[in-house]
Amino acid sequence: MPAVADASLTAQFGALLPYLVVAGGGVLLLLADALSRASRRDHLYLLTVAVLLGALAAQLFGPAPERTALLRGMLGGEAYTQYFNLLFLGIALLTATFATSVFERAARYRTDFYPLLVFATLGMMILAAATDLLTLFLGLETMSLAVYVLVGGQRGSLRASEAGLKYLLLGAFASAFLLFGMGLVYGWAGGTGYADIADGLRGAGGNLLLLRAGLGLMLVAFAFKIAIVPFHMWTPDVYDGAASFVTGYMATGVKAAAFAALLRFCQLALPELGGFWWPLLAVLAVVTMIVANLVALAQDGIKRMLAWSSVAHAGYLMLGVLALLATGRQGLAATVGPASGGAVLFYLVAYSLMNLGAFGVITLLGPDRGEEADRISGYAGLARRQPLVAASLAVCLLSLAGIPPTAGFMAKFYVFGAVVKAGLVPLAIWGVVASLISVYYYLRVIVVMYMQPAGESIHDGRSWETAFATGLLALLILFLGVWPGGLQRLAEVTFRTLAG
Amino acid sequence: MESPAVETALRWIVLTPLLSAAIIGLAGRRIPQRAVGLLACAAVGLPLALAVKTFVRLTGMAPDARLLTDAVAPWIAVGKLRADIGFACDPLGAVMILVVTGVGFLIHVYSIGYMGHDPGFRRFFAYLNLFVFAMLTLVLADNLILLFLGWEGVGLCSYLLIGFWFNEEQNAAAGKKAFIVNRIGDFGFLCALFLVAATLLPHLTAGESPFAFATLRSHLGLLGSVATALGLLFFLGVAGKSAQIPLYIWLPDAMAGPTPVSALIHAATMVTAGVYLMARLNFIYVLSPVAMAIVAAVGAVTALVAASIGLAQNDIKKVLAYSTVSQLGYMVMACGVGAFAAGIFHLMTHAFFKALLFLGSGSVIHAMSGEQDMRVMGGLRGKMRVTYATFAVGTLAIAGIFPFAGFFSKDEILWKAFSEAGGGLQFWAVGFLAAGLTAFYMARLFTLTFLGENRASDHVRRHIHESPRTMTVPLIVLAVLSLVGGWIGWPHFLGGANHFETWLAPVFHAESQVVAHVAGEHAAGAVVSAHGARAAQEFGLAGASLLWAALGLALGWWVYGRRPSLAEGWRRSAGGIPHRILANKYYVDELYEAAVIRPGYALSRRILWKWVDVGVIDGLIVNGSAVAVAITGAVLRLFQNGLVRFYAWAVAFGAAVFVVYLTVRS
Repeated sequence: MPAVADASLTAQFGALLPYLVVAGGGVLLLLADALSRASRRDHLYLLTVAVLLGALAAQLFGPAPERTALLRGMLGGEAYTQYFNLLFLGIALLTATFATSVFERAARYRTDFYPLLVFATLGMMILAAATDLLTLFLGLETMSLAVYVLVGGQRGSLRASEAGLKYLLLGAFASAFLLFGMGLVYGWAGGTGYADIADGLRGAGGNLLLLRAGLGLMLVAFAFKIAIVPFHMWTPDVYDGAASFVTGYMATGVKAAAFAALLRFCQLALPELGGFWWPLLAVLAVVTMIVANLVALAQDGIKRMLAWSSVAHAGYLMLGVLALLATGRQGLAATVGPASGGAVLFYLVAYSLMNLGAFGVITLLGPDRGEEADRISGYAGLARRQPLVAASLAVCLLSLAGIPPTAGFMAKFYVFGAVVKAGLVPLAIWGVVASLISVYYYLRVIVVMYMQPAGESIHDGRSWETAFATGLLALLILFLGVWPGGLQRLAEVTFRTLAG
Repeated sequence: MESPAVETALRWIVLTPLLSAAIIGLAGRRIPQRAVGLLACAAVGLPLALAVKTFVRLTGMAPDARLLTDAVAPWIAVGKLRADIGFACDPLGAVMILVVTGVGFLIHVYSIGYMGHDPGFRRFFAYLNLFVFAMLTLVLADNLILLFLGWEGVGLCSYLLIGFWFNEEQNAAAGKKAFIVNRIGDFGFLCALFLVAATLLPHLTAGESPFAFATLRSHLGLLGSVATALGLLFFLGVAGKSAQIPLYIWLPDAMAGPTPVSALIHAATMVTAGVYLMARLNFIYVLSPVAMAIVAAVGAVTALVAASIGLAQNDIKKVLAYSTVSQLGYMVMACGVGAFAAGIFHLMTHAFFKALLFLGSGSVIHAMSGEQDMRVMGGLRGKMRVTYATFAVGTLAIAGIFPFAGFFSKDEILWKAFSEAGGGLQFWAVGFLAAGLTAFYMARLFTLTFLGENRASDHVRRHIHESPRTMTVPLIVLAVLSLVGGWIGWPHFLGGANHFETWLAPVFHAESQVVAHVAGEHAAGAVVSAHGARAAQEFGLAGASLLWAALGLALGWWVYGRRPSLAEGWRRSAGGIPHRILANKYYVDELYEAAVIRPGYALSRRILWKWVDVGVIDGLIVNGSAVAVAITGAVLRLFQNGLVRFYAWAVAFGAAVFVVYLTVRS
């Protein structure tokens, strides 16, 4: 049974409040959507912001995170949970802001966007906090179902519908693998808690066949959500078809949630078996980075390019996870482990900032441009028309490429550093080679924006909220590039709360 | 040891000009020109006031405790390696900030008049304020990394201001030359920083920065073994920044910038940064007699060679530029023989009179409609009374005539070169010779410019006028400083107290101790009895150099004012070869061209460009990778066919691989 004691229900209430606020807020939003007229959708945005801010406040000013298990070992209530909940709520807040600027001008979007966004966020929070296979699945499905609809939710858009359907079919397929794997693991361990699996591993030296097969199948689902080669194929189609702000939400929120769950699962359920699947993951990570970056080179559309870039970043992030697993295998867990885990946590924040910034700008410019909005050549001369927006996008892209002084550089620096410390130097070299390739396609956008005159008269969208938000993101990226120490220490300390 | 006193004014001394530069640079176009000028001057005037306040506060403290610090923020912390943003002001720093802000303020005021009709007025003041910021960072930094930031910052501003009129290719080229030559020096500086880190890091406790001057001072024992290497690597940086042989070639070309820039950056402040660096690191230099000897020798040779080139230049600013190189040679030589205080003293007086001379020349050029050739000047005495009188003061000061400022500082250096443990007769002799040449070429410059008949065309001549008040007032102030500025170092043998040396003594404490230790062994008992004799010796040497300088002045005036034929005869003597060698600066530029630039160019062109770039990079890597990417893309596109069926198969395939691998693997 759980190694950590279960707190009393009243004590748990404070820690569960953020989830309750988000869940209740989602229901409230559904009702408000159904009851309000189509012309009064501004209220929905404000209500969404209120819900998310309320949850943020509940998370920030609630009881200090402790190493207590919530709901009889279903959810973890450590600082780790808090770290990710804050990240998800922040992402949702920015996504809602980007979306509202589009809704003002285009009527083809569904009005149930806001409640779905809030439910998807709830799913992420549960996913990242899950300490039991059941809550893991619950969180994953809550998130995924909401996101399927978000992707397909553009009235009259064939591309969006196609993307939504593809994502739903393949996602269901992956979920089936997850369930099957969980079944096998449950059969082996006799319990669904992470602690049960860890206990089982500590006790028995016997036949691990069932567990291994189960873990292999579960890994498929993780790899699908994270988008690792060869489970990435849906990514370009779905990212391309979805509305830009939804794509930004998927690229950051969904990916971060899946990584958070994977890290927690490895750390809590498989501490004894850290090196179990790392050689396989090492090959996949390298293949992912190289393939994704090579294909991204050839893209003409900025969203497809960023989709492949997000696949590549999943590869870099996987390197951090690998470093963690490898250190567990070598008995370095106590010294190098937290640094690797902290590096992944730092990377996820930096990655979310820069991708949200980039998709924010795309959202801002997109809706008035029609079908051709997406072509990189359409960004020609942006630096003259909207210098601040262009500068924000440039900072995000430089950060994605990993060029100092940006958060992206420091994030790569910490991850590759952790990989080297874990003794996996060849992997770090592959990572550097891959990011070298990536510089080309990120810089190409900057070159087009700054050095090519605008061809025909392009009507850019303008929205002060989005421009302000992306500018803020760019500043944050630069800030983290110059003073990364604070977040880095926070990430490492946060990760330590996971380790036994 | 108690912690030093805190003075938060230091950060405002540094940041005020930066703030102003940002305002002018970002929003200058919306501000009226008058306001830009006032703002720029105020942004140097306020630091000047704060510098005076700091100086006054320092004077109120016990001599050995004279240190004010201002820790602003932590900056870099990677493991044990750390550097913070922090400022410190000791007596040496106080002298430097007073010179930088004082002279800087006057030159800012002057520039309002000088640049008044230039369309780049705002850009000019943005750069100029940025320069002051960088220079103040350099002199107030409490660690080497921040100092290096300032060091690079002044280099950048120098580049920007040399090429200020970048429409003419020649100016842009001069800017590039300055920047590139300085890179060579910075390479040495960087290597020195690495060496410091590598030497100190293993021995430091957490929280100590290997680059803070305080740490360096307290871990001298560790640095002893690398002192020679450190001294020489830093000296490479010094040679670049302070225009010493073999890297002095950029400074004469730097005169392409506006004249106030030549005065502020390339005479009074930036080029003296190298001398400041050596004075700041005096405790390292004194550990290495070898490095000191090389520094002294390079300084002495630079002083003489540059002065000799100055004899044969016709461009008024070029003469002053070579004169600057020569005077910097004096300062470097002073540091090399261990007389850091004398070097700084000359740095200060030189800032006064060389800024005066440059601004005076600017006033002349302004009046002559941009003409810089002295051969078509002459007779300006009558039309430009203020410029004429102040320029005369500057000339007397640089020639070292009593009681002008230059006399005290130059004489101090010559005496120390003769008497210090690290010096010797040879250094004195070279310095003495160069002093005579200095007096001679300055007399030539003065005579050709201000005396005799005007040789300009009628059109130019009609336009000659005295400069406006904003230009003449700074000239007058600088002239006063060039007269009285040396009196604070009135030497003992003339009945003075040499306040300047006493003031700096705490900074060079370690130096005097070590030198005393070295010298003490063989001179212990002799000091007191020899005191009287030494004073007499000093008096004699000073008298000799005074006479020698007067002779140089008189000869220059007589030849170029009274006997032009004689000058012409000299020019043609020995087939004109000596003159041609001097006029062409010993062909050093041509030598570098042949030895470094052409081979480098050939290498770049034939091998790096034609073969490596076109062949390997363009051909193999760029086009090759493009082909590879195209093929990969085509192959991968087969997979990326948009069919859900196929994607699902890929997932299933991956799942199969996972399960098989994980279960089969033991």
